[in-house]
Amino acid sequence: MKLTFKLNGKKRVIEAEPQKRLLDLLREDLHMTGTKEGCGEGECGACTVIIDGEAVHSCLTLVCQLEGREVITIEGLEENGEMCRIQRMFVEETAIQCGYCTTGMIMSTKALLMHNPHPTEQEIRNALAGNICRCSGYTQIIKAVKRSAEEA
Amino acid sequence: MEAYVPKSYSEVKECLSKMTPDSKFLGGGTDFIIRLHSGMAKPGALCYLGAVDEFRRIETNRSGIVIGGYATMTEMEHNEVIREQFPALMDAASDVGSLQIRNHGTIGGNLGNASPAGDLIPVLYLYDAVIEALGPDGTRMIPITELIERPGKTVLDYNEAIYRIHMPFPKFKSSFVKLGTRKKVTIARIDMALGISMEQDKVKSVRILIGAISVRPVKLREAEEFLIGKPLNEYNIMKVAEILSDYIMANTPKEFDRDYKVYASRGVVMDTFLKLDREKQ
Repeated sequence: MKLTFKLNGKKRVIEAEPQKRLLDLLREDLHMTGTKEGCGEGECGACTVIIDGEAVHSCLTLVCQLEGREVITIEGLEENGEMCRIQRMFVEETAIQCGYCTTGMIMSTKALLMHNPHPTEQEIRNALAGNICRCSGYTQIIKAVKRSAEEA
Repeated sequence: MEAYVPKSYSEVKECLSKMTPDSKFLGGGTDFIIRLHSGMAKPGALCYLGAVDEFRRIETNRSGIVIGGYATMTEMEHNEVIREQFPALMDAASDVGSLQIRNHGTIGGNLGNASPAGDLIPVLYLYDAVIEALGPDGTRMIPITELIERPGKTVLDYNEAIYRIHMPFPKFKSSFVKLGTRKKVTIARIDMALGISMEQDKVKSVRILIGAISVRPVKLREAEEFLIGKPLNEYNIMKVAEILSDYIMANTPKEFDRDYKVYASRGVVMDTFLKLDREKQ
């Protein structure tokens, strides 16, 4: 089917199978491999992207659901070739170990801060509850999110 | 694969009439897409109605609320009327899966999936929901108690969409508690939807629906009858918990975590009663 949607601020018109997952559209068709597949079941959050301002699992979104919607991926967060504040804080707080959960964590953070620029720790934990990290124990990640929210 | 994706209400009926018995409706897809991707589901065509505004609206009329089948869990959780008048629906919608799943999963999908653990289903029983189904020839109204045939199957025809869900404004306080194997992002192992109205200090009317322990939510009649005319104290609430434990012991096969649920259900009952008083939280 022909799909018209907005991707990282730009209008895109593409031809794709309606039952293709957004995750596969991004990684295979559009060669945007920043978004990762961890489980394919909506359990880990590694594939998180933002659609119409809300965090969703791209492994649980199909092409036929995207008509007219606005999608933001990790690739869309850079600011003039530089990392955005969230990305910088993740680096500074060593909130990245193997890196596999990082994209999803950052996208969930971005979605949270779009709604709520000054979240409490509990609100941060609730917003990231759908993102699993197997390496870190989450402490650095929560710190990075807190710092992303300060003076942002 | 064929896909029918109408962009306006006027295009919907035409899409419905193109569907065949191996066509499938797609809600948010947070359950269905897993089966689709793994090959367990092999539909001939998909029909997605989420681009049609009429299917997403949450509106009220003089008698109650009308929720579009494609309203998401997040939209329902944050809706003012639902928060004030149908708080058990807010309770249930706010705990479905993860935030990412709640942003995408729909009430229509939860119903159409007809899982025994479906989070919204006991709450829709509590509020006497009526499902307005839309087919190629028109609409029909199906009371929630008649919707689910068996796990995974509703009485809807292959070309009948869940258009809207109607619920009258309740005349009782309500709450919903879900218990799973972990705190968040968990499938319901047992849940309870409670509706209660008091006269002075005694229970005037009560509704208790227990979900995830059977194919359809169980109306705990014995507990309801016990509570009428009684005060809501700890003794009486624990009696309700006992009735539920006994029910589970008698009716749940041992291999469906019967012994866990017999004990866990007591906490669920206490929590559901405690949750009724929203100001205390």
